[in-house]
Amino acid sequence: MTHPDGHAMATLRKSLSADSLSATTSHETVLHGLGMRRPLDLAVAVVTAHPDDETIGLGGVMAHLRNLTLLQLTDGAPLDPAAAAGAGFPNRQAYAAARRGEIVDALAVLVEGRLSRQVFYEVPDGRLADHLAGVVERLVEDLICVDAVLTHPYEGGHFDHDAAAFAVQEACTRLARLGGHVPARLEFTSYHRVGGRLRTGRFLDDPCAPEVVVPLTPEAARRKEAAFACHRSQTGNLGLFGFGPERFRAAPIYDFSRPPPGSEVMYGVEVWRGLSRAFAAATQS
Amino acid sequence: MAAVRLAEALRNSGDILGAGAVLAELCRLFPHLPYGWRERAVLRWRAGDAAGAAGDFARARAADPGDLLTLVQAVRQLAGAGRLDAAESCLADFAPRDPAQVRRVARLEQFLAYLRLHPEAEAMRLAMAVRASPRHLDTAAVEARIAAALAERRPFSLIRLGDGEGAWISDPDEADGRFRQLYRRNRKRILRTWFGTDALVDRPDFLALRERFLATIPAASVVGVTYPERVRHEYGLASPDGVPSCTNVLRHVAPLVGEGGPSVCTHDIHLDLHHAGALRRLMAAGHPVGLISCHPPLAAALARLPGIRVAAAVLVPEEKGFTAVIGTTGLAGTHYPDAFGRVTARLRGRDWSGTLWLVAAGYLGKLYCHEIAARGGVAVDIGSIADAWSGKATRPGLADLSRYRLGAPRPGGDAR
Repeated sequence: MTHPDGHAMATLRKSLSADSLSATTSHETVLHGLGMRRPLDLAVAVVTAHPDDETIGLGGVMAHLRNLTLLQLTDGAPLDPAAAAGAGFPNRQAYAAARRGEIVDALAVLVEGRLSRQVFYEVPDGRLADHLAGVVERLVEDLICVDAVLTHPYEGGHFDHDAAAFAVQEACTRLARLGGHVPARLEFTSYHRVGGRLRTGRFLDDPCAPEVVVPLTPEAARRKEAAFACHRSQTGNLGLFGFGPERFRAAPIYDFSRPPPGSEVMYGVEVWRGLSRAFAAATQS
Repeated sequence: MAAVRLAEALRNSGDILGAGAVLAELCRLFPHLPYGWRERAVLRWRAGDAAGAAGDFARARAADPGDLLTLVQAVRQLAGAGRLDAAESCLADFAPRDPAQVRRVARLEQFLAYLRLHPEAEAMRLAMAVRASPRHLDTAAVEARIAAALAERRPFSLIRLGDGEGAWISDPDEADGRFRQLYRRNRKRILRTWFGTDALVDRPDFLALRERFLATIPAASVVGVTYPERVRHEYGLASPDGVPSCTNVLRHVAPLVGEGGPSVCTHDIHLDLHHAGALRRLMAAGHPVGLISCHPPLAAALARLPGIRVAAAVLVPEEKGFTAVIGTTGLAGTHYPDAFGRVTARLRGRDWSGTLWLVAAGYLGKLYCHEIAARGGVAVDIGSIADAWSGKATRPGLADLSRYRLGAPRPGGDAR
């Protein structure tokens, strides 16, 4: 496994901070716009690991994104047939189809179908780490077309979330190396564990990454609640998430060769080690 | 019918003699049926045998005087051969049986009237005047103008006016509405190609957009228009959409050239710029590049080429007439109205001085070129080149995709 040393991290920082003036402007514009709940004309991509992550992370503000691209990395159906059976579906394909239907319904509520682009990468749920090379290359193609990208933080909550955070950072690094446009990289919240307790709707504390906190208006809360209801197969999981403020921040530059700082890895250290090897293999030197 | 289909297949594969043999036998065995005569007439027409084609069309019409398709082709063949009197006579003999046929005949009458008012000689004179104008630029001159605009950070816009634009330059109210049905049909046809529906044909917002489109023409730096060979082709085919489109483009642009308006070039300049290696050279000249296209992977493909710095990329939905060729893009809705506002808002958000924008966005792309130039940028309407670079042969001229690979630039040479 290759661990980026100090020099490698410095190189990474340099390439990502080459994020051009436009990316810096986009960071500020997007965060300010979300904070003020103003309509945003910038092209914004939301990269999520699973159908329903978008509702959890930014269901209250999605309606303000007037040029929204949704890149859905997994189909939400694990390869293990027991997962489909447990959710009441005869097989994985039926489960994946149901989850796609659910997100279509949820988006109808959240943005009234006003989506510029929606792309399903169709990786099986839980297997994003096995497909990172292809996912990163596709993200390079898709993210060059947007001004900003919002995705999961690296926080040890779910391995697909962490893989998504890696894939976006790696794609942006490659774009930076190509010397052209790099979208501003931002984050929405998912979940993690601190002090033995599950925490939702918050980022791991990072004083270097100031957050924008957006309380839900009654209308936004109503939309979000209605969208939660659309994810019919996930009712149990979604019960963990409330309708508190949504939080956003510029994405830090993560060192994916180390566990997320300040968090307990919920999926276990052994799984994280495997994930870390996948990150190393997919990192372009 | 099987024999007709076989003959069509042979004809389309280039086996004209084989197709002719099949049809000759069909006409011998079934002289009372129109199909063999009609198809043989088409074959002769395409081979340049005007007299033979007219004879076969006459036999086909005699076999079934009520067949509308035979009538239309016979009229067009006569008109294409310059025999307008005979074409009008042929049309006058036809008795439409239903409202749809009445409308079709009315459009044909308007087309023949158009040909009388604007004969090939007039279109050719305009095309030659444009070509002979000191403002006409060849490929090298266009490349030089683009390069100079980039180097000097001057605004620049190259737009091309093809059939679709011609259909929207044509004014249904012209000559007291004498060609209204013909023009409306041409507009509807191209709207279906662009957006999958012709519902926009009378919509006030889309008609208002036409005014903005017309304003882009005199404001452009270079305008690509029809050329004499294309005029001959359209008049020879007596194409009810091609003839008014190319002639009306020339009627619209030629006076602007005379008045010292934009420079001009052929509307195939995008192909010429590619084949000359000019687009590749311009992209690799160190200026930031922007791209508007319907191909999600294309911007990254350009960025991966040495020397090209892609500074911005904007996706637009594909023309619905080519969805099957272009494939799934994930882009929602149609280009207008769904994406148009978003793209315009994005283009208006920045100063594009010194940026080379390659715009592959059809009719609305002319408006994007205008927006880019208004913000200091250099916009080049590359049209179907973006399809070819993406490996999609959306036009007959792009059939040999090997000629459109994105490769290293060669000084003064082919882009391959």
